[in-house]
Amino acid sequence: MSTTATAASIDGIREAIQKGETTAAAVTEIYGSRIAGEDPRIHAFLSVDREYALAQAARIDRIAAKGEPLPKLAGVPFGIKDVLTLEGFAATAGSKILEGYRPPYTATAVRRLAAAGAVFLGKLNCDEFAMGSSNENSAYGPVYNPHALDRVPGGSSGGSAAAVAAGMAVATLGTDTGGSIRQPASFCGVVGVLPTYGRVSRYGLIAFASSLDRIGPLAANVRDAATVLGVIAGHDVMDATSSPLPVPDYTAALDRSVKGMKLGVPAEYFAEGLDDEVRAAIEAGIEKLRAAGAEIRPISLPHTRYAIPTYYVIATAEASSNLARFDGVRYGLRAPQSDTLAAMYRRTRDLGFGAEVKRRILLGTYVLSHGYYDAYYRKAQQVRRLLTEDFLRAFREVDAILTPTAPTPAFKIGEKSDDPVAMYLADIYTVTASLAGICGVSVPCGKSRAGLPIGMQILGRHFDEATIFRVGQAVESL
Amino acid sequence: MRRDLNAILDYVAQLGELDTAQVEPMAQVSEVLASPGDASSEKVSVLRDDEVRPCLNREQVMASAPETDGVFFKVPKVIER
Repeated sequence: MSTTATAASIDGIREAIQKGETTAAAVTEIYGSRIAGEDPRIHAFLSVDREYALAQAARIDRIAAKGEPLPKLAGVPFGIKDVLTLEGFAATAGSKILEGYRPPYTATAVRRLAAAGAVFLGKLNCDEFAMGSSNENSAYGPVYNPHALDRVPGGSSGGSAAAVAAGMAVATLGTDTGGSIRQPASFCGVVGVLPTYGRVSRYGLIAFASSLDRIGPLAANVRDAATVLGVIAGHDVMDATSSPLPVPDYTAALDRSVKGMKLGVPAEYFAEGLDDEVRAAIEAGIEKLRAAGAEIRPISLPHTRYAIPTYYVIATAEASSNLARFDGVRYGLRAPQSDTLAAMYRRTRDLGFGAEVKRRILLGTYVLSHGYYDAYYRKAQQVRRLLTEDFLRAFREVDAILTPTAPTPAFKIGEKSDDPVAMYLADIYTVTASLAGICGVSVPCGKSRAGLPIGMQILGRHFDEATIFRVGQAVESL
Repeated sequence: MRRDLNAILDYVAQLGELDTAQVEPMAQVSEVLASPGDASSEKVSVLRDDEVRPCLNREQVMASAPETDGVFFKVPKVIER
């Protein structure tokens, strides 16, 4: 096995261990020392547990030593976003209010990775409760973009994207509520998958906005991302919204040509506000897909401009309900020395939550309140349907939709942190798929003159991840 | 904080431009998946059988509690005498 940062693939690692060319323990040590060397300047990991990882690796090496076939993700070094639970491991959700909390159960997606032989190196930094687009909202400090240390890695799964980009993990799990996998994947030059709502169980995910939250993989290439999704996808009795639809082999059709596929390009995603270099990179990518035989069709998704306001009403409303559980009674932080229960609630939340989380709880409570519910929350739910119908109509004409993932490459740390609306606009091309429940993937598609990665977003029909992976593979090989 | 919230509410106000009188609210993605003609016509939300299943035990749960007597969560006084 090569020790260079990008050469190791999931299949390559498993095969090398199977053939006895290396061991899972050796692979784990290589990545452990990379974390020790790189992460002091990146800050992608919130916790690492070398002993635990080596114990997982030892199990793989015992199977390999017996010559028995290895499971799909055997010996593959993973990182897990810290909003997902692993029994006995700290799960902070990037918040002080969960400092020291050790969940007594494991998320379904994490459990499925472990069952497939993955090795967990540690838990990954993120915006507090996954609320943010830059990772600057983590209570434990920002993550720095491996491509430019003065820039953000994107968010909220900033640690998940940066860890892959810096070669500190082969793949990671992130979560995406309004763009939190795809946008950091774009900023860090990796592949990030938003699975269809219901494709991956949310059991064990610390909830932000339950009708939007999704778990998905980040990896260095489309094939690895597709492999990981195949492992974590599928019905789970612990999540009533998880789909009973069978999980196809996402890697089976990856290399099929895009010849004859109909790919839509929505005018609304190339309008005012799109950075010139991003536009040029995405248009060049689209031209190469056309040259490869795809039929490129202009389409319209007319309600796109209403997506951000719709998202910030629905997501904050759901967050205000979900985060009510953090009350200092059952787990996590409790503010000391309060005379009454009400004072304890108040002081715990005041101490435990950061500014953006407080902002969203207040906004969400307001839009749900009597007298404002119809004007804000109900209105946003109605517009959510219009946005979704835009996509359903488009997918009668095209097989997938091509857009930029984000309007700009990675911005500077501190650049938008004083202006919430400007920060929210970083998600302008990603929140639409979140609201509609469709699937998407961000795939690297060129770089800016300054060397910053640019991502193309490929959106697909509900439960049609196979198609977006196929297009993504074509973009990757352009 | 007040300035930020006002800025966000001003921004959100643009939803008022749209006439949605005839549009049903959409709370869950499953509502649109059940419609015919979509890629998936199967129902997404499935309720599990109502049967007793193993659950976290009290000891595991209380291990995370800020203050407990091992049986109950303890909190500051709720009712004034």
